[in-house]
Amino acid sequence: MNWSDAAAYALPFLGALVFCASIGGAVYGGYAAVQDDLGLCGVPAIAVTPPEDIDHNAPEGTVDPSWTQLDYEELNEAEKEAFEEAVGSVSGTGDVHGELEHEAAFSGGALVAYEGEEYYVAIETMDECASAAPWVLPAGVLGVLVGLGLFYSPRLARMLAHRSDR
Amino acid sequence: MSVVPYAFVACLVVGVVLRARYGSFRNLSRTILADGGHVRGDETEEREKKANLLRWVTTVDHKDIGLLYLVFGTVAALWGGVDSMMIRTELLTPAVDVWSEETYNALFTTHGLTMLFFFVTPVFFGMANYFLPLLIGADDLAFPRINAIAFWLLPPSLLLVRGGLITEVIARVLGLGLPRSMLEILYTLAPPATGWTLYTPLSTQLANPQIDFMLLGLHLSGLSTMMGAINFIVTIFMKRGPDVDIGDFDIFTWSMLTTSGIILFAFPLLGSAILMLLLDRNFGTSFYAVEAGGSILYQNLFWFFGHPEVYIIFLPATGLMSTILPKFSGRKLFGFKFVVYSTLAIGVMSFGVWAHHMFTTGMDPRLLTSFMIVSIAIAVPSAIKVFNWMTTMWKGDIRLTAPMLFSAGGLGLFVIGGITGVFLASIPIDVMYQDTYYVVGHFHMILMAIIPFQMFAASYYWFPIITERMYNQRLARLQAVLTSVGVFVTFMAFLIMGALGMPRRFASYPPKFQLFHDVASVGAFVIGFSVLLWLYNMLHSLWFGDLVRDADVWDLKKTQQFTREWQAFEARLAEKYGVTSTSPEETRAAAESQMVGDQKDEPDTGSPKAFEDLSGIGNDVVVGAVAGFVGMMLMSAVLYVGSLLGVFDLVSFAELAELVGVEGSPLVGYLIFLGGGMTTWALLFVTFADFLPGEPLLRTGLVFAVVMLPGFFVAFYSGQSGWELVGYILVAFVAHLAYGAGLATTFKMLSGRLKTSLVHVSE
Repeated sequence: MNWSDAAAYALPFLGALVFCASIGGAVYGGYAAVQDDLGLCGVPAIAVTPPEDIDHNAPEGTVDPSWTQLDYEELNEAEKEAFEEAVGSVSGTGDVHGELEHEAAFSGGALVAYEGEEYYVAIETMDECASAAPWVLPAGVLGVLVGLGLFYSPRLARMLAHRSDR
Repeated sequence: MSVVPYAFVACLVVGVVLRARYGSFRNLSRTILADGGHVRGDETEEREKKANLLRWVTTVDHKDIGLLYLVFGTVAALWGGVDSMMIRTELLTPAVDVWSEETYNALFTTHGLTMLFFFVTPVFFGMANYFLPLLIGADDLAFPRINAIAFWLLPPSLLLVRGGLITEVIARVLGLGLPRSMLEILYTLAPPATGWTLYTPLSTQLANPQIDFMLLGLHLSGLSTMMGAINFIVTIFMKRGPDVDIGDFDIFTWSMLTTSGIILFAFPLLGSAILMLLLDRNFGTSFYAVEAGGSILYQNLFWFFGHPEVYIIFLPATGLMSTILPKFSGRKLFGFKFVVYSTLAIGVMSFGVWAHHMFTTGMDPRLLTSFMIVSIAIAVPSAIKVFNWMTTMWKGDIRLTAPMLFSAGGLGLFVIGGITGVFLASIPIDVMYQDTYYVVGHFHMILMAIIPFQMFAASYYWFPIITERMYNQRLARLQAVLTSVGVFVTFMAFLIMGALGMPRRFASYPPKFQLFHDVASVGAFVIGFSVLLWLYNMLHSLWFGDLVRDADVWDLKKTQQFTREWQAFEARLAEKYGVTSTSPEETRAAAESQMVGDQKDEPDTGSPKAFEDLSGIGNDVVVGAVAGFVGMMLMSAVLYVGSLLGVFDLVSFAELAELVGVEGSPLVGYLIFLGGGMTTWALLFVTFADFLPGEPLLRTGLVFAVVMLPGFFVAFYSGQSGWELVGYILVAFVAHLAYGAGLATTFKMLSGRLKTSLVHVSE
């Protein structure tokens, strides 16, 4: 195998590696830049388990002492809306469009008294927003471009040689 | 990113329809002739069948249905692959900040289900549909209409399993203009987040109605698979050509037969298990309630299906490996019968290992022990295959085509994946690594190495038969190497992470694992990129690839391996284009390898014949042991001097003794050391001397000894520092040179008296 043949395999191979190593930075960095603006993060969700299903997690008549006990009225407006949305939906989850005041309580699991029944409430997701250092996106994009350039370099070289021959 | 699979589907459908509608762009490309030349032109008309949508949805032709299976499987693979790319993107950072936890859970669930049920089996069924009748001389499958029904059950079952994603995407698109309250019914279905194993009680408690659709979809796909399996079995026994006896079956046919047999016994268990799950969820039955069978009943039923399922997807790939590897090694498959026996043995043993998935459930240890033994034992038939593949390649006429690169690369990775699995079969180790990335790394390494690799290899190998065109071979070779690197990087990172304790199925993780996760993600992107290269190569070559008019694309006639499917291809070309059959003037049996030098024309040389070579092997062992003893004596003398100088601690031999349960005995340790130098290392030298650099043999011996040095240096290091450490390094180095010199010169001397198999010496 001569140098030309070796380059025909080695450069695209190297280019593919550089390209793939840069995808993460380009995608994650780009997504972090627009995620919040597009409203794709920052809305936590809570999961509400109805009373009849709580016994699956704790024997009847007992309550895990680590669970905080709250009254529905103690929740703020955003939490109340999310709670009611969860109770009324098949999936049992509701988005909190506002401050999650009882984050600590819901993180460990809480019993919320509502209309004479106790519901188990826990955080489904905090829906955090991605945060990337400022250099991640440009470095990723640069890597993608360099990788693609290397990948296509043998073909580009052939095209240039063909053109100069003409 | 979820639109990507739809784009792929659209591209594939458009490609297939245009290819079928307009035939080939033959004016734009060249025809390959037997002499290597090319002609241009549109001298032939290759379109025989009417190409329209109605034909494709009503066809019962085994080749058409095979192609439909292949397209469907490819679409499913791309969809499942997008899932895995999304998973790896989430895991770029320790926090859950790309997708949500629920989405992540759904991703690994649908990734597993899609790949196992809708990618692997359909692709292998597609290949079997197309090629199995050709290989056994049948004109079609036994039940063509059932064959068509079996395929057409798959698209609805895929939609049932993955419908939650589709409704969610539709809801989000409509949500741009409609209030959410109007779209609630679409939001009701969410992608299932149970894991592909659907363990109870989680799967019985989650309210998501999509889980019910998923169970129905899996049931439907099970019916489809059963129909296909029955069809293959009946076809093999009842429809094979009059000149094809059981003894004439090729290895792929044996693999499909065994796979179909496993399906018959395994899939009804899946059907039963998920039917009871469906009843528990919707009709108040209590099969899996704590008071009844409980979750352990479900796990037993599921894994009685689940582990044979591993072999259902594994065996066809081994059949392809055994088919393709010999073609590019220039000789027939070594140990054909034993490869068949190992396939049958796996078929039986696969039903006796299911509880190794349940080692941590508290089952009776006596039961678990039996499963541990069978789980370790089932590695033996797989090892038989591996050794036969390696022996087929040994001193063969290797041609590094893309199918061969995939076979050889896959073989190496398969060994890594397989050995990590043998460790897991041991109960104490499994208890340690249960639910860690080690398990994930093991099964991905082994499955990736054999299944997609062999699919790629077969797609390139048989591409000319299907399309009458040639693919871009340079791009294919590049893709093969890239895929091998990607798989190694990704799943080695998994194995290391798992060994360090990283649990599986978590969207967030401790920051200390980020480097490993990022490396794994880069490797995964490499795999994804190489898959796109394959797709491009297939679609581009389908239209613009060089036309093939000489059926012996791979020079198989030379080694008498021009098998039935290629003969059928040759007949087709002759019928369509009037191309006359070409045969080389000289051929040799595939059992004979292509030897070099003076041996080239000797008819008796070639493929190693186990019994004929036994005497040489026996001499190798004896001579190697004696040579090893001499080398060890020289090495021991140097180490003793080192101990007198105070740079080497003889007590470090005691640690070797602990390996056999003897505490604090340097003497026992030294005897083990001596035995190793006479057996393991000496035989390794004898085996690999031909492939190590250096002439004459003395230099080879020195190279071999230096290669071993780092291992010794780490194993016998006893805390030296400063000049003591320098002295230790020097003593270890000189001791190894002494071992290599003693080993090589003694071996050279004795080989003159006893015939050994080492080419180095004989030359």
